[in-house]
Amino acid sequence: MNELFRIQNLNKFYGRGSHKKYALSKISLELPSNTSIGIVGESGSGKSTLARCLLGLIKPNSGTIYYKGGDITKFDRKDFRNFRQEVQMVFQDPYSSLNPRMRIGQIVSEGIQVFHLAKNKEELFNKTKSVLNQVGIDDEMFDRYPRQFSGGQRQRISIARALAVSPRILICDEPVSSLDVSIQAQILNLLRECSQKLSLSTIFISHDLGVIRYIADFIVVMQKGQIIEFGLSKNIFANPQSSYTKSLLQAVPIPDPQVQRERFSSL
Amino acid sequence: MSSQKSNQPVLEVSDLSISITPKNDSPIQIINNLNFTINSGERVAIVGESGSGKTVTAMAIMQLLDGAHYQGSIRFLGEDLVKKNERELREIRGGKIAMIFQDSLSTLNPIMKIGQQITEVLMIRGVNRTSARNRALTLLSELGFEKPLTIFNHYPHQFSGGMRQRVMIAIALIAQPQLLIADEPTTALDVRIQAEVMNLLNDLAEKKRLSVILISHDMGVVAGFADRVVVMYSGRVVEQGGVQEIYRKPKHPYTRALLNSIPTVNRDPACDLPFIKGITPEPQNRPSGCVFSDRCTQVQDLCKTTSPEFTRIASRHEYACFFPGNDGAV
Amino acid sequence: MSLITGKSFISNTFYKKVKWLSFYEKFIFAAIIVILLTAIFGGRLAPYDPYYVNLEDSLLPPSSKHWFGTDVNGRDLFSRVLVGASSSLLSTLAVIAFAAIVGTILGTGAALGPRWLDEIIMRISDVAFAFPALILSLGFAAALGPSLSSAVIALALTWWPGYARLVRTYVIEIKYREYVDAARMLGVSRNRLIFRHILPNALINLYVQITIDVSAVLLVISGLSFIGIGAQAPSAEWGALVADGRNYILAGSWTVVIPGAVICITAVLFNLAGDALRVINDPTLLRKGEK
Repeated sequence: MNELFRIQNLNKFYGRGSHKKYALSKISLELPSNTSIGIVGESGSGKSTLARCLLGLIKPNSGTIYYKGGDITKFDRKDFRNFRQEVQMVFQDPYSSLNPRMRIGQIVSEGIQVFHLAKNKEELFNKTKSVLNQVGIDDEMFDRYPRQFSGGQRQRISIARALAVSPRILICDEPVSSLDVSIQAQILNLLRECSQKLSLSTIFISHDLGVIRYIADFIVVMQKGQIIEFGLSKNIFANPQSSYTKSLLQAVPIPDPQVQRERFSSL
Repeated sequence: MSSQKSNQPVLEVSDLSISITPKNDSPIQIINNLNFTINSGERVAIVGESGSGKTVTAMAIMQLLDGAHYQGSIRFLGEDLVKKNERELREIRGGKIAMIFQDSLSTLNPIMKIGQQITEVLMIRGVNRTSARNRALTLLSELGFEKPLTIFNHYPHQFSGGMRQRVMIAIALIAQPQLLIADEPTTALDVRIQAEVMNLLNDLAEKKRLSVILISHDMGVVAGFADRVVVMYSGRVVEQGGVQEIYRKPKHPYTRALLNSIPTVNRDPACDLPFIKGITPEPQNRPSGCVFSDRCTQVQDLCKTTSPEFTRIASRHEYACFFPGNDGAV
Repeated sequence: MSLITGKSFISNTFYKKVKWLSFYEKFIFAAIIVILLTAIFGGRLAPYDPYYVNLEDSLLPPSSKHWFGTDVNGRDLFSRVLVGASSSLLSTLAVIAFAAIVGTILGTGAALGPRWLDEIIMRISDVAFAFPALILSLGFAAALGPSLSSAVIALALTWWPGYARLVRTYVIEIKYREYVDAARMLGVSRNRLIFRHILPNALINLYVQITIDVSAVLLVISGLSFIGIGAQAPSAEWGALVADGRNYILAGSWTVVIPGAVICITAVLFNLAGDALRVINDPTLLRKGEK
């Protein structure tokens, strides 16, 4: 079995009867393993909903998700626990993804405790320290609260929290969207580095095509709950097949005055 | 429409420094020594990251900062806005200088119909109801709304984000201002809507000979819209110049590093993305000497002790750095 | 190492916060602490026996011997006020403790439990909410005989729905926060999720409401005592003190004015303290010294 996730006919809607609003509509997809995958789409495309379904945080209305061949809704306790440990997520908003009343040392070590990955307090501390240092947070900051950190640092802490439990798959839901450009670059490099060093598969969700281009080898383009196009990143960017993807690429602003002005005049 | 001389600058910010004094604390200098000019019909982008002071600058021009202490001057059509009283400023705001914001949902009154929000701008200036209505309807069709009369009676939440931004633009332009300040107008929009809105602003600015200040952190959007770019970092201007110069031949290490660290769609992903280490300092923690010295890759001893003056290399291209990049292409 | 397993409820930064209070805030909180200490130790500090009747000293105006004067029965008013602090405040706190605890449990249950539980709890609280406290107190007084305890019970039963509703709102707001999802993703158990992640954040503003409520409940309890269905003579509860002095306003105004003023000042202080807490608690204000 080569694929990471196999998604079959996934549907998720909100509301009832004729007022149903579909967040995901008949999604079927195979996500390859050992690559970095990018899911790109505008708001309302369903990409975040898909991510949360993959994590088991949202239950779809119909359809199945297979992880390593097993239906995740049919997992028994043990399998589900393993699943939880192996699939982790970095969330979008650095300001609401960390519990404001917990110190960051506690936040990062919680996962290790829950999955019993440390035999004693010392090991717990060492593992926490190691992963926080890996993302660039120094020891003396362990007892601080999230509000004492900048957005970029909070995202690093979020990444540390996810990596602390030694997952196989890291899902990142717009992890850099609320960060400044220069900090964005820091975090993207960190993510790339981590996924290479730790042999992680990453699933990266973003609306920013430039970011997806940098970080993903395989991409899925979504619109209004459906999959429009998917394939190798370099193929899709070079030769988009669907008109939606083409219009997306056309609209992305390039930091080059010449190119942008030519676009305006041709419209 | 306007009777101003075309060679008088619309806006002239000279030696502007702004400090605020929070309760129980010493004054914080948020903006230092800002200098830039906007000529008639010109479009200037103020770019920077968070903490650069770009939004504060916009609010300062509109004199919307509470409790701020100003040094220097902000001359609009020759008159210093800092010295004006509240009544005079109220006439100018929405009238001669208009502003549009990032989040249209919270800047539009949710319980007022949008027609009313647009006509209100004119009616408080003495225009009668019918006349105001007609002008509003005309403007709305100019902005691309096909049935302006129908949407006149809609509420903001009934619109999509892109349409709300157009409504905001309508409110801003209805009184025919000379200067439009757009603070991150497309940041919250999807990329295709963003392109539409920027196109719209482009057209309108051309047609109405509007001077525009665009505040943005998105270097792509700026590249397509601005004539001139002012780059801010931690409360100061570090470089400013024509859009071609700034993008093709940036001098200041911050500008260069910023442009380099953007992941663009046509960039080869195999190369690592260069990034600027560290974070923008708080006003209280600025390094001594050059404000960028604690993050700059070409920093030397001189940078840590002395703040560089501006060097001018072309008409209106200047930067503040002792060791600027010289190899032209970024 | 303790940094990783430390408790999350009480933080060291509390002490740092206290340092940066303004003089006004410090004054208010100091006054509140004095009042609370009086409620606990008042009896022991009283210079005279608050119940000793001595008709010779009836209705003496305030003097150096009797700081608040004496009432019609010759009892030292200052001592009675000190002792009455216990009755008034402890009964107030009893009402609020019951209301807050029951309200929190029910509100949390409604917010986190299944839909039907939410409906049931909210409908019951609607009914209790609609019940006028005064009528219920009269009912209890008639059934059990008027006393401070029957007043407390009646009030507690009508006060909890406010807290249930409030806590439910707080918890619902927190339950959708991303860090709660993050904790679920880490496989955190349901209990840990509720007690470590949701409740500490949801209840963070509860003490503001509690402080303000002290003021409200105090006024109701002393009011009930005043009209005769709360604390009975010879209790020194503040409302009862005002009732005692009511017939002697002309002969000895201090017997009414002083206990009345004490009630009023206490109520105002708690109210102001609640406001001050609300301001201090505001997460959008960064305090000097942090970061």
